[in-house]
Amino acid sequence: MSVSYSLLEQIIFESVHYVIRTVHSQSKVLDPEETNLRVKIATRFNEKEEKKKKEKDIEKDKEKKNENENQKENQQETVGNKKKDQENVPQLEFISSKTDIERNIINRLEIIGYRLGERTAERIAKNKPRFQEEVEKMRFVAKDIWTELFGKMVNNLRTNHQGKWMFQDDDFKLIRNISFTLSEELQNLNHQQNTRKNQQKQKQTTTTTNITMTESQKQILQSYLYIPCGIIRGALSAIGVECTVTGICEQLPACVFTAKIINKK
Amino acid sequence: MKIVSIAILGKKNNPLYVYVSNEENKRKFEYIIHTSLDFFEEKVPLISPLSKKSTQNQNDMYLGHLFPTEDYKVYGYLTNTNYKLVCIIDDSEIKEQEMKTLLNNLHTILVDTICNPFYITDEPITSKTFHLKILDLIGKK
Repeated sequence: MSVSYSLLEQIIFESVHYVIRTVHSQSKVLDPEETNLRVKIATRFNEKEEKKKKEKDIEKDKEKKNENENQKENQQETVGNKKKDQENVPQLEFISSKTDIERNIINRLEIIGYRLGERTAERIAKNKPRFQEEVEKMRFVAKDIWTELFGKMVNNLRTNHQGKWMFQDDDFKLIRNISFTLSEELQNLNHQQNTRKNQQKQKQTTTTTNITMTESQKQILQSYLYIPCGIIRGALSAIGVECTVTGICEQLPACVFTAKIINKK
Repeated sequence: MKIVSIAILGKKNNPLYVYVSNEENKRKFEYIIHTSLDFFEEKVPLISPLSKKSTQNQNDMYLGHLFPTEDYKVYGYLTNTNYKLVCIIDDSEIKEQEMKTLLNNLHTILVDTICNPFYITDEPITSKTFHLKILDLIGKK
């Protein structure tokens, strides 16, 4: 089983790195799809100049980000752009507005997790007594599936008794060793956001081992959570519980997966 | 003891795999399997929390009334993940334990097939290896 663990981890990490590369890539070599997207964005920008201001600002930021990626020099521009970024919608708008490619990738990651969860559940449920209640099924996922895949159990399992279940893992294996290296622009932006936040928070926070993150970092981390969401969904659907699963990571090693049960009536 | 037919049904009672030892009677066995579905639903609530499979599903509609010369016994097995395994036997002497091991092994083979990454869930099982394994399993008995 130890051999299969490392293979599993490899597969997961490779697929997640694929996401990171395609969604947040800042390399000079762009896919033809991406260049087409950017051309479309540019033309849309020209058409909608007379329309709502919000759309205009977002697309301006997108274009500026593209320019920054392609050029990388001209400090005056970056300074000017930084100021505008702070004033208008920050760069995370680009990351969070889901393009078709992003949706496609998210879907594929989720399906990878789904299949994984289904098959793992089949294998493990073979030796388990029959599940009588919903609680038992959730516990099965929280304990057995998690130990099988990640070597530990979920730290906290809660419900709101209305079809919502939350799996909280304080030290999630797949994201434990993530550290952030961002490009200069994002770093500067985050640094400024951070200093503002830290000034506010210094009085409140005590020393913790968890790393607090900026919004953009959370956005990037989000992409690592799609596979585990799929795993939970697959395992539950194998047992017979249809649900939708979302994952949030507030502080770096700790994350929460929320499963909402779909009641067919 | 001769195993006459083995069937695997999916979560929505769709047939995933049917093996019949005698091709002529295939329809009849498919019909028997179909009728056994009712018994699955009947038996499930009666199971104690500790036991996991639905116990022997001796079909009380003894097909003796249609085929006075032949008896069939139908055994059922319901997995945790709602897959139904049906086994039809053409004999009257069989130990409970033997049937349990047979269905357990069948379950193992099924899990192996499901874990195949090229297998799409809820689709008929067309794998040759699977078929060979089933034949092996039956051949031993």
